Amino acid sequence: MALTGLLTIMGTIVAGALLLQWVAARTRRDRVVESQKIPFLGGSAPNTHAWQRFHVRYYSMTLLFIAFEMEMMFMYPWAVVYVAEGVKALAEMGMFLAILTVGILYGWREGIFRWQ
Amino acid sequence: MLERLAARAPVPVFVAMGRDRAPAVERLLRNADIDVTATPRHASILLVAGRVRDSDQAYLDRLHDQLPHPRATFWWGDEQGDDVDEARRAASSDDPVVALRVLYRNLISGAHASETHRLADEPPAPWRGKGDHGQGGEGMMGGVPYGRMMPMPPTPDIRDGLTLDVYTTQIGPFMPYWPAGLVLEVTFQGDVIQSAEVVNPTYPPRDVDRVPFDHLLHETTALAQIERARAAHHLVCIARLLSLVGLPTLSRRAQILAARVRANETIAIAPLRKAAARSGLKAALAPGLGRIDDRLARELGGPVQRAAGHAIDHRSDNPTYTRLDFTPVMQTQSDCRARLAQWFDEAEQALALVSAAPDAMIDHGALIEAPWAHRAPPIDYRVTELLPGLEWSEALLVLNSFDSAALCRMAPLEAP
Repeated sequence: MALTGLLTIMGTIVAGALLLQWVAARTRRDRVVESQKIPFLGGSAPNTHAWQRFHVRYYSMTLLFIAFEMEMMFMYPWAVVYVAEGVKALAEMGMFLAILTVGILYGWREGIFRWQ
Repeated sequence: MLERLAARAPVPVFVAMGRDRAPAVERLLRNADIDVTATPRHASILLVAGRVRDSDQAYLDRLHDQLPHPRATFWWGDEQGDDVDEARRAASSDDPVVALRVLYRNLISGAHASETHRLADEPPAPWRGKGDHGQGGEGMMGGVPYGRMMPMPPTPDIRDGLTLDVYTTQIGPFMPYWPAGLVLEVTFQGDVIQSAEVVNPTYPPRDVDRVPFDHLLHETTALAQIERARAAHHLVCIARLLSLVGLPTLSRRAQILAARVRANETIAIAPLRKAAARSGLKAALAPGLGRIDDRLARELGGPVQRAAGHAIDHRSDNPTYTRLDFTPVMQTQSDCRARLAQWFDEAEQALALVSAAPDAMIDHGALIEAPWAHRAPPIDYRVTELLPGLEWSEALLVLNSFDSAALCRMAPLEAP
Protein backbone atom coordinates (compact mmCIF):
# COMPACT_ATOMS: atom_id res chain seq x y z
CA MET A 1 0.00 0.00 0.00
CA ALA A 2 2.81 2.35 0.96
CA LEU A 3 4.64 1.39 -2.24
CA THR A 4 1.56 2.18 -4.36
CA GLY A 5 1.28 5.60 -2.72
CA LEU A 6 4.98 6.26 -3.31
CA LEU A 7 4.77 5.21 -6.95
CA THR A 8 1.67 7.37 -7.45
CA ILE A 9 3.48 10.40 -6.04
CA MET A 10 6.56 9.72 -8.19
CA GLY A 11 4.44 9.18 -11.29
CA THR A 12 2.55 12.41 -10.66
CA ILE A 13 5.82 14.34 -10.26
CA VAL A 14 7.35 12.91 -13.45
CA ALA A 15 4.13 13.47 -15.45
CA GLY A 16 3.87 17.01 -14.08
CA ALA A 17 7.48 17.77 -15.05
CA LEU A 18 6.99 16.38 -18.56
CA LEU A 19 3.75 18.34 -18.95
CA LEU A 20 5.48 21.55 -17.88
CA GLN A 21 8.31 20.91 -20.35
CA TRP A 22 5.81 20.29 -23.13
CA VAL A 23 3.85 23.44 -22.33
CA ALA A 24 7.08 25.47 -22.17
CA ALA A 25 8.23 24.09 -25.53
CA ARG A 26 4.85 24.82 -27.15
CA THR A 27 4.49 28.35 -25.80
CA ARG A 28 8.08 29.51 -26.32
CA ARG A 29 8.00 31.98 -29.19
CA ASP A 30 11.69 32.10 -29.93
CA ARG A 31 14.51 29.94 -28.77
CA VAL A 32 17.62 31.34 -27.12
CA VAL A 33 20.49 31.74 -29.60
CA GLU A 34 24.22 31.59 -28.87
CA SER A 35 24.63 35.40 -28.97
CA GLN A 36 22.27 35.62 -26.00
CA LYS A 37 24.37 33.22 -23.96
CA ILE A 38 27.55 35.31 -24.10
CA PRO A 39 28.26 38.22 -21.76
CA PHE A 40 27.50 41.80 -22.83
CA LEU A 41 30.76 43.37 -23.98
CA GLY A 42 29.41 46.36 -25.88
CA GLY A 43 28.94 44.32 -29.05
CA SER A 44 32.20 42.39 -28.84
CA ALA A 45 32.33 38.62 -28.48
CA PRO A 46 34.49 36.85 -25.91
CA ASN A 47 37.71 35.37 -27.31
CA THR A 48 37.49 32.25 -25.20
CA HIS A 49 35.03 29.69 -23.92
CA ALA A 50 33.48 30.30 -20.51
CA TRP A 51 35.09 27.16 -19.03
CA GLN A 52 38.30 28.67 -17.87
CA ARG A 53 40.10 29.56 -14.71
CA PHE A 54 39.97 33.06 -13.41
CA HIS A 55 41.37 34.94 -10.46
CA VAL A 56 39.14 34.37 -7.44
CA ARG A 57 40.42 37.17 -5.30
CA TYR A 58 38.78 36.06 -2.08
CA TYR A 59 40.46 32.66 -2.19
CA SER A 60 43.34 33.67 0.07
CA MET A 61 40.91 35.02 2.66
CA THR A 62 38.95 31.76 2.41
CA LEU A 63 42.14 29.81 3.03
CA LEU A 64 42.82 31.77 6.20
CA PHE A 65 39.24 31.38 7.36
CA ILE A 66 39.26 27.62 6.84
CA ALA A 67 42.61 27.26 8.61
CA PHE A 68 41.40 29.04 11.73
CA GLU A 69 37.84 27.72 11.60
CA MET A 70 38.91 24.08 11.42
CA GLU A 71 41.23 24.73 14.32
CA MET A 72 38.41 26.05 16.50
CA MET A 73 35.92 23.42 15.35
CA PHE A 74 38.09 20.62 16.68
CA MET A 75 39.27 22.44 19.75
CA TYR A 76 35.83 22.54 21.40
CA PRO A 77 35.26 18.74 21.50
CA TRP A 78 38.96 18.27 22.21
CA ALA A 79 38.69 20.48 25.27
CA VAL A 80 35.98 18.14 26.60
CA VAL A 81 38.01 14.94 26.21
CA TYR A 82 41.35 16.50 27.12
CA VAL A 83 40.80 16.00 30.85
CA ALA A 84 40.17 12.27 30.37
CA GLU A 85 42.85 11.61 27.74
CA GLY A 86 45.64 13.83 29.11
CA VAL A 87 49.01 14.08 27.34
CA LYS A 88 47.93 11.87 24.43
CA ALA A 89 45.20 14.35 23.47
CA LEU A 90 47.64 17.22 23.87
CA ALA A 91 50.11 15.56 21.46
CA GLU A 92 47.36 14.85 18.94
CA MET A 93 46.16 18.43 19.04
CA GLY A 94 49.78 19.58 18.69
CA MET A 95 50.13 17.54 15.49
CA PHE A 96 46.84 18.86 14.16
CA LEU A 97 47.81 22.46 14.85
CA ALA A 98 51.23 21.88 13.27
CA ILE A 99 49.56 20.77 10.01
CA LEU A 100 47.23 23.77 10.05
CA THR A 101 50.15 26.06 10.74
CA VAL A 102 51.69 24.95 7.45
CA GLY A 103 48.51 26.20 5.75
CA ILE A 104 48.78 29.51 7.56
CA LEU A 105 52.46 29.81 6.59
CA TYR A 106 51.50 29.12 2.97
CA GLY A 107 48.85 31.82 3.20
CA TRP A 108 51.40 34.16 4.71
CA ARG A 109 53.66 33.56 1.72
CA GLU A 110 50.72 34.34 -0.58
CA GLY A 111 50.25 37.66 1.15
CA ILE A 112 46.93 37.10 2.91
CA PHE A 113 48.00 39.16 5.91
CA ARG A 114 48.65 42.19 3.73
CA TRP A 115 45.40 44.06 4.08
CA GLN A 116 44.47 45.96 0.92
CA MET B 1 -5.36 44.16 -20.75
CA LEU B 2 -1.87 43.14 -19.59
CA GLU B 3 -0.43 44.03 -22.99
CA ARG B 4 -2.01 47.47 -22.84
CA LEU B 5 -0.58 48.09 -19.38
CA ALA B 6 2.87 46.84 -20.42
CA ALA B 7 2.85 49.09 -23.49
CA ARG B 8 2.26 52.12 -21.27
CA ALA B 9 5.55 51.60 -19.40
CA PRO B 10 8.60 53.67 -20.42
CA VAL B 11 10.05 52.25 -23.63
CA PRO B 12 13.17 50.21 -22.78
CA VAL B 13 15.77 51.27 -25.34
CA PHE B 14 19.41 50.36 -25.73
CA VAL B 15 21.34 53.06 -27.56
CA ALA B 16 24.11 52.17 -29.99
CA MET B 17 25.78 55.54 -30.35
CA GLY B 18 27.04 56.31 -33.82
CA ARG B 19 28.64 59.48 -35.13
CA ASP B 20 27.46 62.96 -34.20
CA ARG B 21 24.40 61.94 -32.22
CA ALA B 22 25.59 62.41 -28.63
CA PRO B 23 23.73 65.72 -28.06
CA ALA B 24 20.51 64.26 -29.48
CA VAL B 25 20.73 61.14 -27.32
CA GLU B 26 21.42 63.37 -24.34
CA ARG B 27 18.00 64.99 -24.94
CA LEU B 28 16.45 61.54 -25.07
CA LEU B 29 17.93 60.71 -21.65
CA ARG B 30 15.86 63.52 -20.15
CA ASN B 31 12.61 62.10 -21.49
CA ALA B 32 10.58 60.21 -18.89
CA ASP B 33 8.89 58.15 -21.65
CA ILE B 34 12.18 56.49 -22.58
CA ASP B 35 14.10 54.14 -20.34
CA VAL B 36 17.66 54.01 -21.67
CA THR B 37 18.96 50.67 -20.42
CA ALA B 38 22.52 49.80 -19.46
CA THR B 39 22.56 46.50 -21.35
CA PRO B 40 20.68 45.08 -24.35
CA ARG B 41 19.20 42.35 -22.15
CA HIS B 42 16.86 44.88 -20.53
CA ALA B 43 15.79 46.56 -23.75
CA SER B 44 13.14 45.85 -26.37
CA ILE B 45 14.34 48.34 -28.95
CA LEU B 46 17.86 48.79 -30.27
CA LEU B 47 18.20 52.46 -31.13
CA VAL B 48 20.97 53.05 -33.64
CA ALA B 49 21.71 56.76 -33.31
CA GLY B 50 23.70 58.12 -36.24
CA ARG B 51 26.00 56.46 -38.73
CA VAL B 52 28.19 53.58 -37.68
CA ARG B 53 31.28 52.32 -39.47
CA ASP B 54 30.84 49.40 -41.87
CA SER B 55 33.33 47.47 -39.74
CA ASP B 56 31.08 47.97 -36.70
CA GLN B 57 28.14 46.20 -38.33
CA ALA B 58 29.03 42.82 -36.80
CA TYR B 59 29.13 44.41 -33.32
CA LEU B 60 25.73 45.94 -33.99
CA ASP B 61 24.33 42.60 -35.13
CA ARG B 62 25.56 40.91 -31.96
CA LEU B 63 23.95 43.59 -29.81
CA HIS B 64 20.73 43.11 -31.75
CA ASP B 65 20.77 39.36 -31.14
CA GLN B 66 21.33 39.94 -27.43
CA LEU B 67 18.01 41.75 -27.06
CA PRO B 68 15.28 39.46 -25.74
CA HIS B 69 12.14 38.89 -27.82
CA PRO B 70 10.04 40.74 -28.84
CA ARG B 71 12.60 43.15 -30.25
CA ALA B 72 13.07 45.68 -33.02
CA THR B 73 15.76 47.99 -34.36
CA PHE B 74 15.08 51.70 -34.74
CA TRP B 75 17.35 53.87 -36.90
CA TRP B 76 17.71 57.50 -35.91
CA GLY B 77 19.71 59.52 -38.40
CA ASP B 78 19.83 60.44 -42.05
CA GLU B 79 22.02 57.63 -43.30
CA GLN B 80 19.83 54.53 -42.93
CA GLY B 81 19.10 52.51 -46.04
CA ASP B 82 15.88 52.56 -48.01
CA ASP B 83 15.08 49.00 -46.97
CA VAL B 84 14.13 50.17 -43.45
CA ASP B 85 10.36 50.70 -43.17
CA GLU B 86 8.88 53.97 -41.91
CA ALA B 87 7.92 52.55 -38.52
CA ARG B 88 11.53 51.85 -37.66
CA ARG B 89 13.30 55.05 -38.59
CA ALA B 90 13.40 58.77 -37.89
CA ALA B 91 15.39 61.56 -39.48
CA SER B 92 18.08 63.14 -37.34
CA SER B 93 16.04 66.34 -37.06
CA ASP B 94 12.95 64.46 -35.80
CA ASP B 95 12.09 63.59 -32.24
CA PRO B 96 11.83 59.78 -32.17
CA VAL B 97 9.91 59.46 -28.89
CA VAL B 98 6.43 59.10 -30.40
CA ALA B 99 7.65 56.67 -33.07
CA LEU B 100 9.47 54.61 -30.42
CA ARG B 101 6.34 54.46 -28.28
CA VAL B 102 4.20 53.29 -31.19
CA LEU B 103 6.78 50.70 -32.18
CA TYR B 104 6.97 49.41 -28.61
CA ARG B 105 3.17 49.18 -28.34
CA ASN B 106 3.04 47.23 -31.60
CA LEU B 107 5.83 44.94 -30.45
CA ILE B 108 4.03 44.14 -27.21
CA SER B 109 0.67 43.55 -28.92
CA GLY B 110 2.26 41.42 -31.63
CA ALA B 111 1.26 43.79 -34.45
CA HIS B 112 4.96 44.26 -35.19
CA ALA B 113 6.76 40.93 -35.50
CA SER B 114 9.87 40.38 -33.39
CA GLU B 115 13.06 40.45 -35.43
CA THR B 116 14.97 37.19 -35.89
CA HIS B 117 18.64 36.81 -35.10
CA ARG B 118 21.17 38.16 -37.59
CA LEU B 119 24.33 36.28 -36.64
CA ALA B 120 24.79 32.54 -37.11
CA ASP B 121 23.55 30.54 -34.13
CA GLU B 122 26.93 29.20 -33.07
CA PRO B 123 29.16 29.92 -30.06
CA PRO B 124 31.85 32.53 -30.78
CA ALA B 125 34.49 30.46 -29.01
CA PRO B 126 33.36 26.81 -28.83
CA TRP B 127 34.83 24.41 -26.32
CA ARG B 128 37.03 21.94 -28.15
CA GLY B 129 38.08 19.02 -25.99
CA LYS B 130 39.63 15.86 -27.36
CA GLY B 131 36.64 13.55 -27.03
CA ASP B 132 33.84 12.87 -29.51
CA HIS B 133 31.48 15.21 -27.72
CA GLY B 134 33.98 17.94 -26.93
CA GLN B 135 34.83 16.37 -23.60
CA GLY B 136 38.23 15.67 -22.09
CA GLY B 137 41.66 16.80 -23.18
CA GLU B 138 44.84 18.00 -21.60
CA GLY B 139 45.43 20.33 -18.69
CA MET B 140 44.54 20.59 -15.05
CA MET B 141 40.81 20.68 -15.59
CA GLY B 142 40.67 18.02 -18.26
CA GLY B 143 40.45 20.30 -21.23
CA VAL B 144 42.31 22.89 -23.23
CA PRO B 145 39.92 25.72 -24.03
CA TYR B 146 39.91 26.63 -27.68
CA GLY B 147 42.34 29.41 -28.48
CA ARG B 148 43.68 29.63 -24.99
CA MET B 149 46.17 27.56 -23.05
CA MET B 150 46.13 26.75 -19.38
CA PRO B 151 49.66 27.72 -18.24
CA MET B 152 50.24 30.58 -15.86
CA PRO B 153 50.51 34.06 -17.36
CA PRO B 154 53.95 35.44 -18.19
CA THR B 155 53.65 38.38 -15.83
CA PRO B 156 52.48 38.54 -12.21
CA ASP B 157 49.42 40.53 -11.24
CA ILE B 158 50.49 44.15 -10.96
CA ARG B 159 48.55 44.70 -7.75
CA ASP B 160 49.55 41.91 -5.38
CA GLY B 161 51.98 39.79 -7.35
CA LEU B 162 49.76 36.68 -7.39
CA THR B 163 50.26 34.93 -10.70
CA LEU B 164 46.87 33.60 -11.63
CA ASP B 165 45.12 33.26 -14.92
CA VAL B 166 44.57 36.22 -17.22
CA TYR B 167 41.44 36.96 -19.21
CA THR B 168 41.64 38.88 -22.45
CA THR B 169 38.57 40.23 -24.20
CA GLN B 170 37.48 42.98 -26.51
CA ILE B 171 35.20 45.66 -25.07
CA GLY B 172 33.13 48.15 -27.06
CA PRO B 173 32.17 49.86 -29.31
CA PHE B 174 28.59 50.38 -28.10
CA MET B 175 28.51 50.70 -24.33
CA PRO B 176 27.04 53.25 -21.97
CA TYR B 177 29.67 55.53 -20.38
CA TRP B 178 32.11 54.49 -23.06
CA PRO B 179 33.58 56.61 -25.86
CA ALA B 180 31.40 55.80 -28.88
CA GLY B 181 33.18 53.63 -31.42
CA LEU B 182 36.15 52.74 -29.21
CA VAL B 183 37.03 49.05 -29.10
CA LEU B 184 39.73 48.05 -26.64
CA GLU B 185 41.30 44.67 -26.15
CA VAL B 186 41.67 44.50 -22.40
CA THR B 187 43.60 41.92 -20.39
CA PHE B 188 42.41 41.37 -16.84
CA GLN B 189 43.87 39.44 -13.96
CA GLY B 190 40.88 39.16 -11.70
CA ASP B 191 39.21 42.55 -11.83
CA VAL B 192 42.44 44.47 -12.38
CA ILE B 193 43.31 45.67 -15.87
CA GLN B 194 46.78 44.52 -16.83
CA SER B 195 46.95 45.99 -20.31
CA ALA B 196 44.76 47.56 -22.97
CA GLU B 197 45.20 47.87 -26.72
CA VAL B 198 43.14 49.94 -29.13
CA VAL B 199 41.37 47.80 -31.76
CA ASN B 200 39.06 50.46 -33.25
CA PRO B 201 39.32 54.22 -32.69
CA THR B 202 36.61 56.49 -31.30
CA TYR B 203 34.13 58.41 -33.40
CA PRO B 204 34.95 62.14 -33.53
CA PRO B 205 33.17 64.05 -30.74
CA ARG B 206 30.50 66.60 -31.46
CA ASP B 207 29.46 69.16 -28.88
CA VAL B 208 26.30 71.11 -29.26
CA ASP B 209 27.91 73.71 -26.98
CA ARG B 210 30.64 74.59 -29.46
CA VAL B 211 28.23 76.70 -31.58
CA PRO B 212 28.98 80.06 -29.86
CA PHE B 213 32.70 79.32 -29.97
CA ASP B 214 32.53 78.70 -33.73
CA HIS B 215 30.38 81.83 -34.05
CA LEU B 216 33.05 83.88 -32.30
CA LEU B 217 35.54 83.12 -35.08
CA HIS B 218 33.56 85.27 -37.50
CA GLU B 219 31.30 87.57 -35.50
CA THR B 220 31.22 89.53 -32.29
CA THR B 221 29.50 87.30 -29.73
CA ALA B 222 27.87 87.93 -26.38
CA LEU B 223 29.91 86.85 -23.35
CA ALA B 224 26.70 85.42 -21.90
CA GLN B 225 26.36 83.03 -24.83
CA ILE B 226 29.94 81.81 -24.48
CA GLU B 227 29.71 81.34 -20.73
CA ARG B 228 26.30 79.67 -20.88
CA ALA B 229 27.71 77.15 -23.36
CA ARG B 230 30.60 76.52 -20.98
CA ALA B 231 28.27 75.94 -18.02
CA ALA B 232 26.04 73.63 -20.11
CA HIS B 233 29.01 71.60 -21.33
CA HIS B 234 30.31 71.11 -17.80
CA LEU B 235 26.86 70.23 -16.48
CA VAL B 236 26.53 67.50 -19.11
CA CYS B 237 29.92 66.09 -18.06
CA ILE B 238 28.81 66.21 -14.41
CA ALA B 239 25.52 64.48 -15.33
CA ARG B 240 27.38 61.61 -16.99
CA LEU B 241 29.58 61.06 -13.94
CA LEU B 242 26.59 61.31 -11.57
CA SER B 243 24.73 58.69 -13.58
CA LEU B 244 27.77 56.40 -13.56
CA VAL B 245 28.14 56.50 -9.77
CA GLY B 246 24.47 55.51 -9.40
CA LEU B 247 22.77 58.86 -8.84
CA PRO B 248 20.32 58.90 -11.79
CA THR B 249 17.96 61.47 -10.28
CA LEU B 250 20.76 63.96 -9.73
CA SER B 251 22.10 63.16 -13.17
CA ARG B 252 18.75 64.00 -14.75
CA ARG B 253 18.67 67.18 -12.68
CA ALA B 254 22.06 68.18 -14.07
CA GLN B 255 20.84 67.41 -17.61
CA ILE B 256 17.77 69.58 -17.08
CA LEU B 257 19.95 72.40 -15.69
CA ALA B 258 22.14 72.16 -18.81
CA ALA B 259 19.06 72.43 -21.04
CA ARG B 260 17.78 75.42 -19.07
CA VAL B 261 21.15 77.19 -19.29
CA ARG B 262 21.09 76.74 -23.06
CA ALA B 263 17.56 78.15 -23.11
CA ASN B 264 18.89 81.36 -21.44
CA GLU B 265 17.14 80.65 -18.14
CA THR B 266 18.66 81.66 -14.82
CA ILE B 267 19.71 78.66 -12.76
CA ALA B 268 21.70 77.93 -9.61
CA ILE B 269 24.24 75.10 -9.53
CA ALA B 270 25.01 75.24 -5.81
CA PRO B 271 21.93 73.18 -4.75
CA LEU B 272 22.90 70.41 -7.19
CA ARG B 273 26.45 70.46 -5.90
CA LYS B 274 25.25 70.28 -2.30
CA ALA B 275 22.86 67.42 -3.09
CA ALA B 276 25.65 65.53 -4.89
CA ALA B 277 27.98 65.97 -1.92
CA ARG B 278 25.26 64.80 0.48
CA SER B 279 24.59 61.73 -1.69
CA GLY B 280 28.15 60.49 -1.17
CA LEU B 281 29.62 61.40 -4.54
CA LYS B 282 33.02 61.91 -2.96
CA ALA B 283 32.91 58.47 -1.40
CA ALA B 284 32.51 56.98 -4.88
CA LEU B 285 35.60 58.81 -6.12
CA ALA B 286 38.53 57.71 -3.99
CA PRO B 287 41.19 60.37 -3.40
CA GLY B 288 44.00 59.96 -5.92
CA LEU B 289 41.87 57.93 -8.33
CA GLY B 290 42.74 58.81 -11.94
CA ARG B 291 45.59 61.14 -11.02
CA ILE B 292 47.50 62.13 -14.13
CA ASP B 293 50.99 63.50 -14.44
CA ASP B 294 51.81 67.08 -15.21
CA ARG B 295 52.90 66.37 -18.76
CA LEU B 296 49.58 64.81 -19.71
CA ALA B 297 47.61 67.56 -17.94
CA ARG B 298 49.51 70.24 -19.86
CA GLU B 299 49.10 68.46 -23.18
CA LEU B 300 45.36 68.00 -22.72
CA GLY B 301 44.87 71.59 -21.57
CA GLY B 302 41.50 73.10 -20.71
CA PRO B 303 39.77 72.20 -17.44
CA VAL B 304 42.00 69.10 -17.09
CA GLN B 305 45.05 71.35 -16.96
CA ARG B 306 43.46 73.75 -14.48
CA ALA B 307 42.38 70.81 -12.29
CA ALA B 308 46.08 69.94 -12.10
CA GLY B 309 46.93 73.36 -10.65
CA HIS B 310 47.91 75.32 -13.76
CA ALA B 311 46.05 78.63 -13.91
CA ILE B 312 46.26 78.83 -17.69
CA ASP B 313 43.15 80.30 -19.29
CA HIS B 314 43.00 82.50 -22.41
CA ARG B 315 40.23 84.54 -20.84
CA SER B 316 42.81 86.08 -18.46
CA ASP B 317 44.23 88.02 -21.42
CA ASN B 318 40.93 89.25 -22.80
CA PRO B 319 40.00 92.86 -21.90
CA THR B 320 36.29 92.02 -21.49
CA TYR B 321 37.14 89.42 -18.87
CA THR B 322 39.86 91.45 -17.14
CA ARG B 323 37.33 94.23 -16.63
CA LEU B 324 35.26 91.68 -14.72
CA ASP B 325 38.27 90.77 -12.51
CA PHE B 326 38.39 87.30 -13.98
CA THR B 327 40.87 84.90 -12.44
CA PRO B 328 40.93 81.23 -13.47
CA VAL B 329 39.68 78.74 -10.88
CA MET B 330 41.84 75.69 -10.34
CA GLN B 331 42.36 72.61 -8.18
CA THR B 332 45.59 71.00 -7.11
CA GLN B 333 45.19 67.24 -7.01
CA SER B 334 44.72 66.39 -10.72
CA ASP B 335 42.56 63.35 -9.93
CA CYS B 336 38.91 62.49 -10.70
CA ARG B 337 37.69 64.48 -7.68
CA ALA B 338 39.67 67.52 -8.80
CA ARG B 339 38.31 67.32 -12.36
CA LEU B 340 34.74 67.06 -11.05
CA ALA B 341 35.30 70.01 -8.68
CA GLN B 342 36.79 71.94 -11.61
CA TRP B 343 33.64 71.36 -13.71
CA PHE B 344 31.45 72.58 -10.84
CA ASP B 345 33.68 75.60 -10.11
CA GLU B 346 33.97 76.65 -13.74
CA ALA B 347 30.22 76.24 -14.36
CA GLU B 348 29.43 78.37 -11.31
CA GLN B 349 32.03 80.95 -12.33
CA ALA B 350 30.60 81.06 -15.87
CA LEU B 351 27.11 81.80 -14.55
CA ALA B 352 28.52 84.44 -12.18
CA LEU B 353 30.19 86.12 -15.18
CA VAL B 354 26.88 86.07 -17.07
CA SER B 355 25.05 87.80 -14.22
CA ALA B 356 27.91 90.29 -13.73
CA ALA B 357 27.95 91.36 -17.38
CA PRO B 358 24.82 90.21 -19.17
CA ASP B 359 25.35 92.58 -22.09
CA ALA B 360 29.13 92.32 -22.54
CA MET B 361 30.33 91.47 -26.03
CA ILE B 362 33.52 89.78 -27.17
CA ASP B 363 35.18 90.89 -30.41
CA HIS B 364 35.28 88.34 -33.18
CA GLY B 365 38.48 86.40 -33.52
CA ALA B 366 39.34 86.85 -29.82
CA LEU B 367 41.11 83.89 -28.29
CA ILE B 368 38.68 82.52 -25.68
CA GLU B 369 39.26 79.41 -23.63
CA ALA B 370 36.97 76.56 -24.73
CA PRO B 371 35.31 74.42 -22.03
CA TRP B 372 36.98 71.24 -23.31
CA ALA B 373 40.50 69.95 -23.77
CA HIS B 374 42.61 71.35 -26.60
CA ARG B 375 41.49 70.05 -29.95
CA ALA B 376 44.79 68.98 -31.40
CA PRO B 377 46.25 65.81 -32.90
CA PRO B 378 46.30 62.71 -30.69
CA ILE B 379 49.04 62.73 -28.12
CA ASP B 380 51.35 59.82 -27.51
CA TYR B 381 50.00 59.33 -24.00
CA ARG B 382 47.22 56.93 -24.81
CA VAL B 383 44.15 55.83 -22.90
CA THR B 384 45.92 52.46 -22.84
CA GLU B 385 48.49 53.90 -20.44
CA LEU B 386 45.80 55.29 -18.18
CA LEU B 387 43.93 52.05 -17.48
CA PRO B 388 46.44 49.37 -16.33
CA GLY B 389 46.35 48.87 -12.57
CA LEU B 390 42.74 50.00 -12.25
CA GLU B 391 39.74 47.85 -11.47
CA TRP B 392 37.04 47.92 -14.15
CA SER B 393 34.72 50.16 -12.12
CA GLU B 394 37.59 52.58 -11.45
CA ALA B 395 38.53 52.57 -15.12
CA LEU B 396 35.03 53.71 -16.11
CA LEU B 397 35.11 56.45 -13.47
CA VAL B 398 38.49 57.65 -14.75
CA LEU B 399 37.34 57.64 -18.39
CA ASN B 400 34.24 59.64 -17.50
CA SER B 401 36.21 62.20 -15.52
CA PHE B 402 37.51 63.57 -18.85
CA ASP B 403 35.51 65.50 -21.42
CA SER B 404 35.01 63.83 -24.78
CA ALA B 405 37.65 66.00 -26.49
CA ALA B 406 40.26 64.90 -23.94
CA LEU B 407 39.29 61.25 -24.39
CA CYS B 408 39.51 61.54 -28.14
CA ARG B 409 43.02 62.87 -27.89
CA MET B 410 44.03 59.96 -25.70
CA ALA B 411 42.37 57.30 -27.86
CA PRO B 412 43.41 57.47 -31.50
CA LEU B 413 40.76 59.28 -33.44
CA GLU B 414 39.20 57.99 -36.58
CA ALA B 415 39.80 60.07 -39.70
CA PRO B 416 36.73 62.27 -40.30
